[in-house]
Amino acid sequence: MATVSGTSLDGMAAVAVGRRKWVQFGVLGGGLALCLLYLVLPERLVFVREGLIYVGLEVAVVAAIMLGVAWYRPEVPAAWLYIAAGIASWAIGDAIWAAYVMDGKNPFPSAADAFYIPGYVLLAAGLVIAAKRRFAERDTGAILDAVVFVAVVGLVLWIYEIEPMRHGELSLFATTISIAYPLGDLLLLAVVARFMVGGAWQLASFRWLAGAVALALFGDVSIALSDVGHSSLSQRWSNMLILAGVLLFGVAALDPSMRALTQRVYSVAPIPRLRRLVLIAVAALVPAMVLIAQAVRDEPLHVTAVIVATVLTFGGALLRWGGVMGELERTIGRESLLRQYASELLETSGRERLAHLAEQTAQEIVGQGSAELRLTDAHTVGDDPRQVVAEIVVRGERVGELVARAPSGQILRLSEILPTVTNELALALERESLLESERETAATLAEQNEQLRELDKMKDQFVSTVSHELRTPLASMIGYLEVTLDGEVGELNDEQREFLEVVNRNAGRLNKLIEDILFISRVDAGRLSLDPSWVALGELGEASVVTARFAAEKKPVQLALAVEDGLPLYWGDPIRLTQMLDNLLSNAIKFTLADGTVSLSIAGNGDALRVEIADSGVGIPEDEVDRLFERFFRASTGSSAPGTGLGLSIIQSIIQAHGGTIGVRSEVGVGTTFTVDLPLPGMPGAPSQDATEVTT
Amino acid sequence: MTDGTPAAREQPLILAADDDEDLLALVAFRLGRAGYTVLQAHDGEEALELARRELPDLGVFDVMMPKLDGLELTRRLRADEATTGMPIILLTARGQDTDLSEGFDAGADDYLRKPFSPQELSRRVQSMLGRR
Repeated sequence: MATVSGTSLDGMAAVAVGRRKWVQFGVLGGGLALCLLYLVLPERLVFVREGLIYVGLEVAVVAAIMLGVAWYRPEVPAAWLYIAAGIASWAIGDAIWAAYVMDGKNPFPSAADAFYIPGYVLLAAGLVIAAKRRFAERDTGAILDAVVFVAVVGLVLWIYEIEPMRHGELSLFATTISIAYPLGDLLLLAVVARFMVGGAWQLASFRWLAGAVALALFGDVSIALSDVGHSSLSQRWSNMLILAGVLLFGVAALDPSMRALTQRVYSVAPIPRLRRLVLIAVAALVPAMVLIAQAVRDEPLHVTAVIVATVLTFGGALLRWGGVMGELERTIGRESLLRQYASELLETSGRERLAHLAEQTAQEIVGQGSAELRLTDAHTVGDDPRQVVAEIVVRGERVGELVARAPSGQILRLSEILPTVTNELALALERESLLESERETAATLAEQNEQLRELDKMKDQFVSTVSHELRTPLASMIGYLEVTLDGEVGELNDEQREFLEVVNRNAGRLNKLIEDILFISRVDAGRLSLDPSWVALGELGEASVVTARFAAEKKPVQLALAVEDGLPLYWGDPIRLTQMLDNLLSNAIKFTLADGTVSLSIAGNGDALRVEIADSGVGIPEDEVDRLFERFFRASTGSSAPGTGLGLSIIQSIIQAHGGTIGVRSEVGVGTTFTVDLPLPGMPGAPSQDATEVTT
Repeated sequence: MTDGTPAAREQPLILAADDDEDLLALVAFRLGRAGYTVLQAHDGEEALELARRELPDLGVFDVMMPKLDGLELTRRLRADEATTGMPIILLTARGQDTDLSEGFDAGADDYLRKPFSPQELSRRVQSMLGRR
């Protein structure tokens, strides 16, 4: 429970506090001394005793209370002033009594009673004012506890104090007056009980007050009991107890925590400890036990009183337990509601839906009232006591608020629970924004993916469009040339034929160039796809040699072929491999002078097959060997031979696609040897046998 | 010259389709010289119409044509009962193996890469019609 303690102090006041403490304990000590003195003073010093000491101490207490009020300035001084007035009333009554005693009289009732009884009322009034001020909410539970307690005490008082008075020999008026005292005590007790179950025990000032009332009660009861013959305590002792009680009122007022007694406290009544509930249940049984005790002791049975007390205590206990059960149920209900809310948050997505869910849950929690959740910048000022504002903070940033209106009795409870709702919402919103950014990233990636795919498609289309656009006119040229050269449109004279042959030849060159360029561009685009199968490299070599024979015989150049026996089958693309062999052979023939030789050998080489093409041609200068495979690179030694400069680059691409390597040895004027190693299947780099198509 | 075909025609009818005027004329010329009557279409749609109307004995189609390309044209002719048995030779500027298999999947009987030899085309037409 939240309570506010004491006063706010600055440095200078700390010294004052120290001084005041001394005064307080001085009063206590002095007062106790006086009490003791009162007790022991001989009988004859009546004036000193009853007059000076008794009344004097009471007056001193009134002064002490005023001093306390002046020092600590409570918010509601009225409470203490009423208490002071009550004591002052008692003082006057005691003065009158002293006068009587000094005269040797002991009347009952007397004028003194006219001041005693109101004193109780004033004291009780002061305490009630303090209680009303202090407890902001009506704590039904605490009041019930107090009722039960008072009912039990009241029953006891009734049976043992009041009833005897009623059956006594005094007049009706006197009886009424004498009953007024225990009733007054009960009244004070009831208010103190209310304070106590409301949790004021922490305040030192209250402890003094409780002590005061307890002593006064004790004293009163002992007087009453001695009056009816039950008690052996002398009147002096009883009076001293009352005096000590009065003293404690003064000490209470001088305590720094006196201020807190009238300070409003906002707290949520907690679910009471089992201990208290058990006590209340026991209290409910007390009336019955009293009845039984009376029966056992053969005393007259006070059935009515017991019934009344039973009704009060039982009723109070039932209500209390029922209230507690209800409160427990509500709490459990709230807990499960919050749990459900938390799990629903996890399953919900979207800011609006999350906010809506939070608002609904808040609405359920608030019950009779309203709850509004806004994810805006709007700030609601939290002045209204019937309003709870809980802020929604996501990663340090305020994104909205939850405003709830409810009866003031619920405000405190709500202000403790609603932040839980908003905190959970904040977490969910944070999660949501993380998810959103993830979704955004995913969407961006998907978009970029799409774009890349589009680009890819465009590349493909470009290549095929270019391919078509270049080949179509060439097809016309070559087609028409063929038809013309075949004589289908008339005889050609020799010169015409010769010229057209030139055109044809160049058209052929152009065609070859276009093929090479398109091939290279496919390699660049990563579109070189192999279509591998099991091939006999030796046979491919043979076929290529046959193809090259025509060109070789023209120069003439001698062709030789050597294929090793028992070569394993090779897993590769036959068309590409043929292209490679054709290119290598035609290159070799091109760069070899008349009467030279070109030899092709295919053999095994460990894990690979080795293809070697050696020529006795013009050779390549040493410094150009490294650049040989560059595109459009023409060796200086072969400048007279026609070619695009793409051949070796294409050959290299094909070899690389098969996971192989190519090397060259050359000497100017002597010849060149190209060596190609193609790894056999299962070796690193070799085309895999699982896929029928391999794309570089 | 061709052998006599079981058609009611004097000369076999060939449908040639190509969006390139020159190539179209070349094919018509060469096949005309070889003794066929050649219908000329400049795009796929025209070719489809002519094919359904005239029911030619063989088709020579360029693949890349506007409105309806050679592949789709082949598919549609295959799907149509009247023309489903017509032999088809595709002319293609794309020489990739994937393109060729695409052509066969569509239902073509043969293909020629561009640039092609008109003589070669004529030989293939002859052999295809000769089989009939």
